[in-house]
Parts: sequence; structure tokens; C-alpha cells
Amino acid sequence: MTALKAAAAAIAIAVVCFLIARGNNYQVFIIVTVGLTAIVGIGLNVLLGLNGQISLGHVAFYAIGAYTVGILTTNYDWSFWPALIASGIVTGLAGMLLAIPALKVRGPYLAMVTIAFGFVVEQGAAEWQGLTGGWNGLSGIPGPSVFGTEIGERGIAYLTLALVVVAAAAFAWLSRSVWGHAMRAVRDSESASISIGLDPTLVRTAAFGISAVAAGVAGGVYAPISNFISPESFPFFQSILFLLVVMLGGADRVIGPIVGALVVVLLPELLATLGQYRLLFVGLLMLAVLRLARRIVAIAGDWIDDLRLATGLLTRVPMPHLDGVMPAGLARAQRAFPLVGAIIGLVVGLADLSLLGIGIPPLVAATLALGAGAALTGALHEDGLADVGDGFGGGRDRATKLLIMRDSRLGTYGMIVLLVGFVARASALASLPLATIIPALVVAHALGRAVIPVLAANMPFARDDGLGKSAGRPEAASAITAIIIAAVIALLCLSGKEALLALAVTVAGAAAMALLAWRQIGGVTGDVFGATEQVAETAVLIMLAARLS
Amino acid sequence: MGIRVERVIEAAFALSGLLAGVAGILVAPLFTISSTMGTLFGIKAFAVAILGGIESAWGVVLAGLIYGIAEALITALLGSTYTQIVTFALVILALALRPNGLFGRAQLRKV
Repeated sequence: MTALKAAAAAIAIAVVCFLIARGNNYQVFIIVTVGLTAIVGIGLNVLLGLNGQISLGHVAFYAIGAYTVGILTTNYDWSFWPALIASGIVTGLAGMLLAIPALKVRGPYLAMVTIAFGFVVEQGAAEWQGLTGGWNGLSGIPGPSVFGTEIGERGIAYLTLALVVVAAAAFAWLSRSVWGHAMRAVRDSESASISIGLDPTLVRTAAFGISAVAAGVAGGVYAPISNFISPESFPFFQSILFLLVVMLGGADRVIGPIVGALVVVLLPELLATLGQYRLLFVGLLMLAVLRLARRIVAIAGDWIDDLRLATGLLTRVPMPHLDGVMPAGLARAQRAFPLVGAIIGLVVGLADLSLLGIGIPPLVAATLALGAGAALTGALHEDGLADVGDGFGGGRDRATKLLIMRDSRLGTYGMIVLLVGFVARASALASLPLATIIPALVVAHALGRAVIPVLAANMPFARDDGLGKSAGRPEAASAITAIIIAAVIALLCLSGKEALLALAVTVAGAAAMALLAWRQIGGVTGDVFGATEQVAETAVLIMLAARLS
Repeated sequence: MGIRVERVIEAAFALSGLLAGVAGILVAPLFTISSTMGTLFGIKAFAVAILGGIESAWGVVLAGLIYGIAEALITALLGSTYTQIVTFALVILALALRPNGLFGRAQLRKV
């Protein structure tokens, strides 16, 4: 696991912890459902992804796990923790038991055996009334306790999160271990695997056992969170959903079942407003997703690449440069500029609010926050603004202007432009009401960054080298995407009227800078991009300060 | 070889849909109809197709007959509560003993 992946996992875990801590009972229940579904999916991924065996009866293991915990805690007064361990053991044994007939059959025959197993367990739970309560089910299943106190729904949610992390880590380990390679070998060619000394029966049985244990433990946690289990809690349909969880996320990938569980559980909840047509829509969407899964993954991957490149270019945040300092994808990556801008705006806003929070006066806080922003971006755009001020103000002809702009020294013109820009932004920020600081900064930075791909797509380049040119000319589609993203951010953060005005002053500022650059040096450079960003950002902040304060 | 693969797959789906539709017409007068009745029928039909052995048309017909008689016998002897448990357990047992269905021939394994 790379450092980047570890960081992403840590952030995801922190976000889920936050959601568990803040969510209401319903939201916590949904989180637990996603987590348990993911655990079953990770287990099923061992069977399907690593070992290439299908199971359409996995809900049976889930049910066995739930009933084991339910029966032991209610009928035999066990406490939850030993009951959970027992459910893992019982389902592991059940998995190996199912493996006996399952190992002899392949493909649709295996599907049939597992379906039949699912029905036998469901009907068995319904008819063995003395043990399972029959159709009436088991209720009042006690939750887990730690040091004598019940940990409640939230506690179960944290437990589920921990189990998901353990399951994912175990899968990652298994996938790379000798056993993982053995499972893939048996999947890809049974005869070849025998010839290198593997025992397919043993490997397949292990895959069945492991996937059953995961499903059983998840079921064991499901029993107390739902507090009531009956045969109807474990319909055949659920087995299909478990399979879908693995297929959606991509078989044989660690993160796959977690993504799949998110989609399979959250999609129906998000569509709750559709009422009785909900399942119909879910079904259609699933079909569409399965058909388009590869394209969706590819598109998401492109956006992640673009965000990484854009962040690397626009900020000083360390980003892995996988394809060199000036990768070919930089032209397209410009469509992600507004998103990076929004995050920069958010950081500056949070800095400002924290400074205000500890009692620093508004103008001081605003100045320091802008300084923090410049530190984050490496004063990339301020540098462009100063160079443009010096060049456009001082040079006699086009060649001299371009020469001055490349000069690292700061002249009077650049100094004045920089000062006016910085003071205007700081004082505008200081005059904004508290609640509008973050939205205003997010919008100003997003709109400011969005003008860069627009200029880069449409204006002639004034020089043949330099950062602006070497980043490449984005296609019109990338520029339009950037504008749409920035406009959506503006509409989300501000009221309609302010959002439209912000767009208007951005367009006016960018148009003025484009005209000026065209007349002065016959086109744009990287410095002109930076200067235009500064002009748009400052104009938006001033407009918002004028209207909101 | 000039076989239009997609057209053949389409035709197979259409034909199997048609036959299921015919079976549905025949079932309609015998049972109360509901939108959720299909699952169990579908599973039983799948079980019969698998038991008969894929690619063996007469085998499937025979398997259907055997399945129906077994279900009726179990209901008569043990009571309706155990019908599904025992029949599905028998399906597992049958496949464990004859992995290619009751009347199917062993498929060639490609290496």
C-alpha cells in the first residue's frame, strides 16, 4: 500500500467516524448496513474474485451467523462477544460442509447447489421452531457490551467499521499471499495448478470457508443491530445483491466490494422519494451501471488523475508526479482547476475563521489568511500579476514587455498592482459577515481558476515556451466543463442573484484582461493566466463585499 | 465460421422467454397470481434444467417429471412444511453424486 492510499484510507475512516458520531439513528443504521454488506462482499470476493467460484446462496451464511448470535444470546444467555466468535466458527464449518457437494460441480451447476443451500437454510430456519422461533423469529437480541456497559447502535457502528478495515486488510494480505496466488491458479487453470502440486479441493474448500466466515460474522453483527431476525430477514434476493456488490466494484480488488456495498445500499435509500417505483428504478440503474461500469471507472480514474495534476500545478501540496514534471495530461487537467480552487478557497476561509475565532481583528485575520493562501499556492498567481504589471506598465514594445515579464526583479508597476490587489482582497474579506466568508472565498477562487482554461483554449500564445504554453492548449470541452463546475459551485454557495453577479464580474474581468493582453503582447502567457485569476478573484470578492456587508 | 453470435444469443433468449410465457399461461388457471410468485417457479425451473443436464432436452423433461413427483411424494409423506427443505436438499445430493445432472454427459474440460 502506497502512502497515498494509506492517507486516503485514513481520511475515509475519519469521515465515517465523524458520520457515526454525528448521525441520527437511521443514518447510523444505514452506515452499519453498508459496512456489513461490504464485509459479506469482501468474503464473497475471496470465493468469486480470487477463486472464480459463484455463490447464489451467500445469504444463508449471513443467516446462520445471525441465528447463531441470536440463539446463543437469547436462549442460552451467552454474551455477544463469544457468540460472535461462535458464529464465525459455525459458518466456517457450514461453508466447508457446503464445499463437499459444491466442489464437484462448476458454473450453472454450482449456482444451483448454492441456491438450493440458501433455500434449505431459509426453510430450515422457518420450520425448526424450537430453536429459531420459526416465522415469528427471534427478538430482543442483546447488543454487545464493553466493561459492563452496552455500546449501543453507535458502538456497533464503530465495531462494523473496525471489522470492514480488518476484512479489507485481511483480503489484501490474502490476495498477495501464497494462498491468494494458489486460489487464482486454481481459478485460471485447474489442470495446470495440479501439475505444480496444488490441491484444488483444499484451495476451493478454504475459499468457501473464508467467505462463509466473513458472511457469518457480518450476520452475527446484524442480529443485535436489527434486534429482530426471522427467515424473512434473509430472502433469496439478498444473495443476488451480495453478488452484485462484488461485480459492481470489480472482482479481485480490495476496494471493490466496499464501493459496491455503497452503491447497492445507498442507491435505494437515495431514491426513497420515488416510493413504490423505487425498486424498479434501482433495477434499471443497476443494469445501466453494470453495462457502463468500465466507462464509469475509467471516467472517475481520469478525474482523479486530473485532480492530482491540477493540485500539483496550482498548489505546493506534495503530489506524486507519475508522468514527469510536465505530463501530457496537463491540458485536459485544467478542467479540474475550479475544484482545486474551491478547496484552496475553503482552506483560506477556514484559516480566516480560526484567526477571527481566537480574537484577532478582521483586517489582520484577513491579511494573514491571504498570506496562508499564498503559501499554499506558492504565490503562483500573485507572481503572474506582478510580472504582468511590470511588463505591461514598463515595456515599450512587445519584445521588451515579454523580456521584462520574465525578469525576476520586481519593479514599481508590479509592486503597485500587487499592493492594490492584495489590499483590496484583504479589506474586502475583512468586511464580509462571518457566515459568508467561506462561501465567498470558495466561489472567488473557483471562478478565478475557471478562467485559466477558457483563456488557454481560446487565446493565441504570446511566446513559444514557458509554463502557460507547455501546459498545452485544452480542448473547448475542458474549458466548458471548468466553467460549468465553477458556475455550479457559485450557485451552490451563494444565492441566485449573487451567483449570477459573481459570474458576470468574472466574465468582465477575464474579458478585460484578455483584451489588454492581446493589445499589449498579442496573446497570453502563464503570467497573464495568473494575473487574470487574480483580477477575477479580487473582482468577485469586492462585489460580494459590496453587496453582503 | 459466419455464425452471427449476437443474433444467436438473441434468438436463444427470445425462445426461452417464449417457452416461459407458454408455461405461465398454463400456470395461470392453477394458482393465485401475484408479482412475487415468479422467484420460486424460476428457481424450480432452473433446478430442473440443471438436474436434467444442460443440452439434454429429454433429460430435462424427465427431470421435471421426477421433480414434480418427488415434491408431491414428500408433501404426502412428510407434510408440506418439509417440501422445500427436502426437495432442495435432494437437488444438492443429486448434483453431488452426478455433477453433470442426472442425464447429462461429462463435458470436456478445456485445459
